[in-house]
Amino acid sequence: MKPPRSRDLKRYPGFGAVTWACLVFLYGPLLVIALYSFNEIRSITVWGGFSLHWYAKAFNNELIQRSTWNSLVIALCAASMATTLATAAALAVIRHRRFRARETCIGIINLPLMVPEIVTAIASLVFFVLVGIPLGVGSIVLAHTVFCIPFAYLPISARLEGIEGYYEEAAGDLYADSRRAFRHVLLPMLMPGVLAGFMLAFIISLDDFIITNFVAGPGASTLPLAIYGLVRTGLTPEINAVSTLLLLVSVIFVILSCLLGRKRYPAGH
Amino acid sequence: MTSELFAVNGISITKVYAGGTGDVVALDDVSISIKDNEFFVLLGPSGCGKTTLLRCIAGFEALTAGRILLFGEGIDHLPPHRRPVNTVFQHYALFPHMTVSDNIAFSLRMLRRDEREIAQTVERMLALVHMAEFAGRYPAQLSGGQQQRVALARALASHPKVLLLDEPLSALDLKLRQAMRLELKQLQEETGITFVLVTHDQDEALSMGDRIAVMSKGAIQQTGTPREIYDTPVNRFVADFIGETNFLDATIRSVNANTADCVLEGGARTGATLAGPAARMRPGDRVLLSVRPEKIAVRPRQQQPGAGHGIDGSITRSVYIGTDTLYQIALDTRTPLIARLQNSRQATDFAVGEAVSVSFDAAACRVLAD
Amino acid sequence: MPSPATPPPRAASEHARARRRLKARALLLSPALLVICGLLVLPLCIIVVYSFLTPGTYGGVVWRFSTESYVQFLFERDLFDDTLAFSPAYLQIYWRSFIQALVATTACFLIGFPTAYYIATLPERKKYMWVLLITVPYWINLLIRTIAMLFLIRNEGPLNHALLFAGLVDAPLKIAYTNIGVGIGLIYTYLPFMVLPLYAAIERFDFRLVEAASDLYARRWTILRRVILPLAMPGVVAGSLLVFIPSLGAFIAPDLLGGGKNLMIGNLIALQFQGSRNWPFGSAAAVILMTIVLCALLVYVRQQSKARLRQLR
Repeated sequence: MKPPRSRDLKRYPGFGAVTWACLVFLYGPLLVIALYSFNEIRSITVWGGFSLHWYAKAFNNELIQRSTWNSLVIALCAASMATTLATAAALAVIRHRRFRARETCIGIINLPLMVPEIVTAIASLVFFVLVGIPLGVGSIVLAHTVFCIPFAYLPISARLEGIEGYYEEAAGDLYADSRRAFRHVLLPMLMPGVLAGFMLAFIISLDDFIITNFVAGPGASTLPLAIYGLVRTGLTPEINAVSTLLLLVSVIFVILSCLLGRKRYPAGH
Repeated sequence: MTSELFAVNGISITKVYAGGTGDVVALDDVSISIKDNEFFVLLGPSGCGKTTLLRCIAGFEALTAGRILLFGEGIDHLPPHRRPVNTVFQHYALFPHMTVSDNIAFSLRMLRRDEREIAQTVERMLALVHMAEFAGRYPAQLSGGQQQRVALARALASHPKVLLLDEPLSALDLKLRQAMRLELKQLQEETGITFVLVTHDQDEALSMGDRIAVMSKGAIQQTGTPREIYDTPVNRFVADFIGETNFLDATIRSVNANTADCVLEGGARTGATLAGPAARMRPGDRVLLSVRPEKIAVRPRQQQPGAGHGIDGSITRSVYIGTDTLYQIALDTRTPLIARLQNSRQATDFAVGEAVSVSFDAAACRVLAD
Repeated sequence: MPSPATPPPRAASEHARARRRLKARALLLSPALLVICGLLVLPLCIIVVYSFLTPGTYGGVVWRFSTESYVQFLFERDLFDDTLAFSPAYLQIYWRSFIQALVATTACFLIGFPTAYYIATLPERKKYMWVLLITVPYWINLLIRTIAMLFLIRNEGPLNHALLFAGLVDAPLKIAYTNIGVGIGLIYTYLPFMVLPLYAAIERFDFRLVEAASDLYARRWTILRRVILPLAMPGVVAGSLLVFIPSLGAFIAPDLLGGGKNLMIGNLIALQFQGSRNWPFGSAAAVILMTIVLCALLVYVRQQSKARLRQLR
């Protein structure tokens, strides 16, 4: 008789332990920083009691306020543009299965993912300076839009891939011209994918540091730039507080976007 | 051409798909006339072009050559949404984000009918397909059979001139499929709309169709009523595809009006009917005969010394299938014959190895054109 | 009925439809492609051009052809007599980055494979939850994650305090501001990039093959090595590239966790556009980095097409 442990051929001893260790490794530092952001006092060793003191301080920081506002505006603009472009591109690529340049087009759309960020960053900087686009919020939005396209494209194309072509045919058969077939049938069915794409693009833009760092110019600061500036002068509980907040935004957005991407009909309304 | 106005008139329809390795001919010079208010079935194995033909009528595919007339008017230049023709899709294609009533109302909304009229029509359609209590449900909350009914109601709501049905029953289980056949037939009679149904299931075709077109390899092999198709197949494909049949190689000895006197391979003689494209056959031609298993009479050999044109053989296998028994009978020819005898009769049971005499009417035996 | 001896002319509608589709496709695709080509491909080409120009005094370039930037990589030009002497300083940075990225990739694989495998063999519902758990850190701000790691492992951070308190060490472990610190940062940042493609590959795996192999007397570790790993190879390659490429060009981890002492390629490039202001040299450094990345991608493409061929056979 074999011991019961090895009865299931699929299982390997230790793999479960590694997985849990992996989880601790991934989340440990984040939990620690979140925990300390609530510590009343600056100390690492002493728990001074639960407090939102550092959050209040961060909120009152004029630089953080301004940067947050910039970040939100930039993310909203860049994500909107990227989502629009990605939706259109996905419609062309997924709905027209066979055309010669298809693979090339997909390659170009995914190109921003393959170029190391630092290279994208300096290339954008050089380009903006050469063409004479002033560095600031505008240039950041442009650079982010490019970078966000593949992220928005991912869930949109996945969703579209799952929508059989016969729905549009059925709409056409039932007297809807192509514009109304899109408006009344395809778009509502695609919407969860579009929203998921928008949200991913939004966090990607909100989180970006490297590219922003190079194309921001002297005036415009975003939240990651502000945090980086603060870190250079030393790690403070205030940074922990802002980081925790930003972290929470990311987590919420990702989970929402995942749920949207998996959304199945019937809708519950 | 006669002046009769057909619901659908396809003239020399050709559809060629440009493929990577070469062009694929899906429809090869197909001509078809479907009468008003008839239940027409396109029957054939998968890949025979029947669905392509349906999609051409609906407007999803553009013709490579040929024309399609709808009640005498050319519709080739019209996109699907301008054709007064609706389709019930194989997988129903119900819009998952709309309720049952919104699905049914879709075409009427697209046609910008007024909301009161839409509400009335939807109600009428729901009643027609017995789905009134499901009006507020979403398609994913319905069973396959219910989705099928909604798809029908949706396609019928705008009262199209022709309803196209693409294998509508293939996704249902056997029991439901059989019930839906009757319902579809009834629906066609109630609405008076011309139905064109695509299927690969011969039982479905025979039980529902007023007329059937049997298709193979992008061409129509035979068009006719179910009885014509079954009883008088014109060629080997139709005889083989519809029901079961025995093929016998033979040579024509003489032709007398519609009947040919034929010699089978082993030397036995039989009469056979010549009709349709086979009428051109002359004495001396080698031909193929088709006899349905249930048209064959089997008797013990000693009972009839030299009576009629009996063919000698012996039982090699018998299979009991409830209502009937199938006998495999070895003749002097290469292929054994299958005979199907009803069990209800007080017929004698034949044992394997028993010597029998086999016979059939000349009317039940067809000479095939090829 | 006229039987067409010559092939019939294609109906006008078929042509018109094809034309309409072509137009629609072009209209939908062109905005995204134009934006990416105009704002990424074109700038990358400009970088290549810049790498062959002469640096301006206060940043920017002077439009004079020069290969000086590339020469500078291997040699140091003597200020007085203009002779070239071999200098490995920059090569070392590339070598160090390469090794760092390689170590990070290997470590990610060693942690990632058992994790991906374990998740792939879980029941459906748990599987989804675990994938989500692994995915979430991927989307959390890189900067913040690096800061969190720095906060944890620095000399006066909670980790060292805990170790000292427990008496496991006498003096704080020096992890932050060392190569090891940078390595940990890279692994921490890019681990999800390894787990997710590995999971995708293993999840598709038909575990009946394991039973078949076991039936044919293979031991379980042999099965892992000879059956599962080869079949998961596309995932291994994809994951490795997804870790290796960004690690090679990493900026934040070496900047924060290396304390500016343990430069990597990313920092070298950044410096040329911030501190030293030698744009052509920075461009050249970027071009070399891109070349390495391109080679890695080519390996990937070739491997993928080989895998596809194998599936076809």
